Amino acid sequence: MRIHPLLIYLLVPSFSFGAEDFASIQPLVQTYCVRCHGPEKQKGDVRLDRLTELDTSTWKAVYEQLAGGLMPPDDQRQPASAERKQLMQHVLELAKKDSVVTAAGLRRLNKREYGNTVRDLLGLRKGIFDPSEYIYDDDIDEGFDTAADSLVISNELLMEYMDSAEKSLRQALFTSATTKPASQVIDVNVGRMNGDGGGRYINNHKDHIICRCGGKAMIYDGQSTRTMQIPGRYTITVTAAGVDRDAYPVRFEPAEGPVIMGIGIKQDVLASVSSKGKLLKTFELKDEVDQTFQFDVWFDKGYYPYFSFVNGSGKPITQVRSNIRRKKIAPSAMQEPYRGPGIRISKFRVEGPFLDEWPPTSIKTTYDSGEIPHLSDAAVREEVVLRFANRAFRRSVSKEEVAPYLDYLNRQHTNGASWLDATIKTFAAMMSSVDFLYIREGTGELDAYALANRLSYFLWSTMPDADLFALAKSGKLKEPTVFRQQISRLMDDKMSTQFCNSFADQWLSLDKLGSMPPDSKAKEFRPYYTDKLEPAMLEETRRFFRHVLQENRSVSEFIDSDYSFVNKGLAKLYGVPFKGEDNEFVKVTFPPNAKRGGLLGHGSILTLTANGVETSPVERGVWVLADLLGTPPPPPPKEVPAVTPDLNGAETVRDLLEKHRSDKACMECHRKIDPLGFALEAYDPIGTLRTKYSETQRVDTKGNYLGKDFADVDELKQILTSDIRPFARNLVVRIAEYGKGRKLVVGDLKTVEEILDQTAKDDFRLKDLIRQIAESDLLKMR
Amino acid sequence: MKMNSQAIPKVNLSRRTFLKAAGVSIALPTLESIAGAANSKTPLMRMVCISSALGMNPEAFFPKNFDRGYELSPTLKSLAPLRDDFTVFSHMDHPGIYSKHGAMSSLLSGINANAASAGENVSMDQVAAAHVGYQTRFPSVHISLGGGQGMSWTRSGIKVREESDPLDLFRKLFVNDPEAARQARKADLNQQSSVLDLVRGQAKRLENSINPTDRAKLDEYLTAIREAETKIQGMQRWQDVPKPKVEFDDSVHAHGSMDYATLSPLMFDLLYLAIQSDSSRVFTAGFGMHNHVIELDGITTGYHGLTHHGNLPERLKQLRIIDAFYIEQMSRFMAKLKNAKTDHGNLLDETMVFFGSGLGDASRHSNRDLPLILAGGGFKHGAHVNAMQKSGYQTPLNNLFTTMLQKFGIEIDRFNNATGTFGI
Repeated sequence: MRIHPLLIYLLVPSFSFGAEDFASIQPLVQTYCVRCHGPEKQKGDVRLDRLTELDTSTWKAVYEQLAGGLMPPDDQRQPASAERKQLMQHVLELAKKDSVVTAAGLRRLNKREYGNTVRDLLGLRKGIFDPSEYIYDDDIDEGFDTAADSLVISNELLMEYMDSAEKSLRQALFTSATTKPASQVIDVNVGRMNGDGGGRYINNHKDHIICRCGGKAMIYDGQSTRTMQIPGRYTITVTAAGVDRDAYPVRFEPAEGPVIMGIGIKQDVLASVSSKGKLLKTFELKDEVDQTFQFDVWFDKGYYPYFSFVNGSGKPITQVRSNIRRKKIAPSAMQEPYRGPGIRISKFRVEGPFLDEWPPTSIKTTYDSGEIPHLSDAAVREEVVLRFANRAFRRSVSKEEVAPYLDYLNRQHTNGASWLDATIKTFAAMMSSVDFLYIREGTGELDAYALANRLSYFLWSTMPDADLFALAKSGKLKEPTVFRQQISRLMDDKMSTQFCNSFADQWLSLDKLGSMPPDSKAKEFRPYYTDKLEPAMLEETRRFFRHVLQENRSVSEFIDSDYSFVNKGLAKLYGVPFKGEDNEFVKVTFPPNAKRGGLLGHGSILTLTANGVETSPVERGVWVLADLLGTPPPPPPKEVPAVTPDLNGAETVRDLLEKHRSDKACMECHRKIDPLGFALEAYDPIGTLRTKYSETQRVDTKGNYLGKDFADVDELKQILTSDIRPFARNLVVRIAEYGKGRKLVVGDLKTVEEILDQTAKDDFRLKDLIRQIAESDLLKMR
Repeated sequence: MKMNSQAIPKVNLSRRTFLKAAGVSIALPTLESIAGAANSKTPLMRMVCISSALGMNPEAFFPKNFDRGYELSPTLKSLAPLRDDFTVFSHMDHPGIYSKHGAMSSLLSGINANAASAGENVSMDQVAAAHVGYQTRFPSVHISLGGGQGMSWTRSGIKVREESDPLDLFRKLFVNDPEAARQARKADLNQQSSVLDLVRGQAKRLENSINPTDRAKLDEYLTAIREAETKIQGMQRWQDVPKPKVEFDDSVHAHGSMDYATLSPLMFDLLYLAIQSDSSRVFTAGFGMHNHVIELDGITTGYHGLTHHGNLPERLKQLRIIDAFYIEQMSRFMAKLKNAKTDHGNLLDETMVFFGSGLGDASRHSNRDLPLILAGGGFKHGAHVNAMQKSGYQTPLNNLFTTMLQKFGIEIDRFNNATGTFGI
């Protein structure tokens, strides 16, 4: 997280209280804390003997440590629970009273929100053209991608915004014609189709073309008319066959089963940048027998269709080479033209566009009107610009405010642009303005528009829809019953998947999955690739989160549950019976001894906390403390003699860590971190259960958490679920931070406790928690 | 290589602008700048920063003895013919960096971006790039094989983009866009200038009506506008100058992104051509972090897995093959520069070639004692330097960077958290 120096000053002042305000808790602090955090010792660089000098972030840490039961450490004298409560209460009361500027500044739309907002503002179709594709990834170091602090802007980014806005608008307002365009037929001259993938493997003949290369190779119409100028549905007719399966004495890829042809779409770009194709459909071909396929495909403007050899070899020559080496085919094959398996296309027709409605959605949405406006009329232009400003700036905009934009539009026309072009350029300018790119919230209680924005970006990651806008305009959104209905509506809509996936990904660091993948050549990790486990793992955890939310289950199911969602590959990894289609996800109930259920049994979590080579109890322990429980241990003070596991010797990682912990400087934190990781040593780097590291080394999962012993991960889960409030607290804090766009400060924590009090009686159900957060001042106040 | 005769763009001196920011001025082109590298009146200076994302196995990298008579280590063997053209350092690193793999992104800044305020973690290549500005077509050029390094950071705290495919870099550096695309681009740049004017006016309206925290964010936006204007002016300056024609075989097809034996020479050849044609003077090039099997003879295990060798002889052997390959590639590049004569000597003397990694010993995720080499640039080379300070601490790498930036022609006392300079 990057914070402007000025903000540090504004965000982290000390309390404006005198010694008398701390008088009632001073003795408690003296008794339980000052021995390690005082004049003699300052463990973790924290000193608690002079309370008036503490800054608010230290107070927040003090509160979290007390609330999580982590301080005082379990080997020190413990306060009575009434004393602990008194301390916590006092911190909250003071913090609440303290008036601190806590806003984090104007918040830029992040990449996800930008893509969704542009799509919804312009009524673009989901799926192919993606406005955020042209925007660089946000660099979020810590916290969420909604944090205003992290969302910096630079000249590069600003120029990308300008570029993306214009591209998106040209996609949306693709014509100024007032009549529906007629559909046309293009019969492609297949003999003259083009190919990417090397001349050796793509053979043009008079009346057909053969593509013998898989991988990235593709064939397409060589004429510039291949590219669609009008977005819409098109019908493609193609006649194709698989050829030359037995051209060589041994079978080349695919050795078995039919040849598979793919059809995809690709963006035609002028500049020297390459774009990636997107595979849409696949077809099984008959060997040497032509078949004709007909199907509909949606094209966005500027895309063209291509065909590919889906199960062909990406490097056919390696098959020739290796078979020559194995003396299966004659060495002369290297010099001769390659004639291995391929797809043959002998007819290719495109017909379209077929438009189901006119004017199309994108034009109606962008102009916010049922008709295509006559832009040559000055009064119409003024209305069009004002209507667009209201939606783009997501608030009520005055005529005076849009006057400079209207001038700009007229000036563009005077300089020679058509009215449509001038409008596109003007809208693109509006979409590069601070009013569009940033969320502005004022101070204190949010007004109706700001509230509509906050709720919408919180649960849908996009601009408010027409209903929310209408309620903001009338002011009704501020009525508690109306607001409550809207929270429910947004949560129940499938757009809330935006919240579920983005929040779960970032809360649990799921976005790290794949950053340190296991070795593809190692036998024990093969299923990770052959069964495509990485996307499946991500999907399991996302589905699990969505299930807990939509079914309003208790958040304790994140720690322990008897079910999860798996596909065939994951079921194999977990060793549970599976009845379903190959790629289908099915809810399964685990047998009692399965050591699955809860997030700690998810392949995603176990993989992302390992480094693809070996497991580290430290990494996994830190993940549990920091991400799952919200009580991160402090970073190592100085680089300690690091642990290099010696794979030649007989020592396990547990032995090494136990030596490490005998060092006093390390012990303080590692006695909390390591045991949590030891419990998870029951799983290898991709989450497979194991009982031994090697023939001679057994896995030992014993440990101790908060003074309670456990034998394995099941017993650890029992300890964690026996008091679920600290876990629920972290979840509330994290969700609120995601929705609010900044870190919570100690002054916010009283509201957090109130939310916990209200939801405790019903076991902290997730939907209830989110509703309470949305209704509290965490969301309604700046 | 053939260079076409280029039209020298007219420079309107009254429009030369210097942006003072964080002690760095961003210059627009000066008159003498477009003439090409080989025949400029005064020697130019360039900087190439090469990195390995996963360190270098220390036992095979660091020579066993110091000073001029040192014996080359196994990993450095390929540098033998260039012995007097480089210096290898021991006991130098970024104090305060303990971010393990994360240190990849602080190699050129010495600052942990996660903990820094915007603008505090500029990398030294970007300081150099701002100094050159649009005197060359590209203020800086970045490429990394096998995944990005993320070591280059702009002054505004944004990670600089890197190319990953040498052929994309070739197109960017040397292939002229079709005329239609160029005309469209030209119109776009003009258009963008006028949009920036318009949106600045709209943003300025807010200045007085918002609170101080919002104001800080608004300033960030206004700065982006100002910098975008400078950038557009720079790009406009080059839009009608054809890109240099070079001899380069772009029909080479690598097997895939792990085919380093094919990709790496392409990458370095392009850097060489870019230097020779003065397309840029600041470069970063890297070998990224991943766990795929690098396609070199003798490698059968994923790269990241090899760095966690657990002292297994087979893994160590493979890791050292990869490390030696990196150095060999740099050595080949240096030799090419050295063989290219200029009016004042050779290109290696006018190019600082830096090699380093954010990790010292990847098997322990250690960020101490980084493997570091500095070659060329007109320094007096030939030694293995022990940079351990009298205090018993390693010398901050930013001290060496300060020296390099000074050599680059920048008036700077201390780069980021440097404590001084490092004379060699």
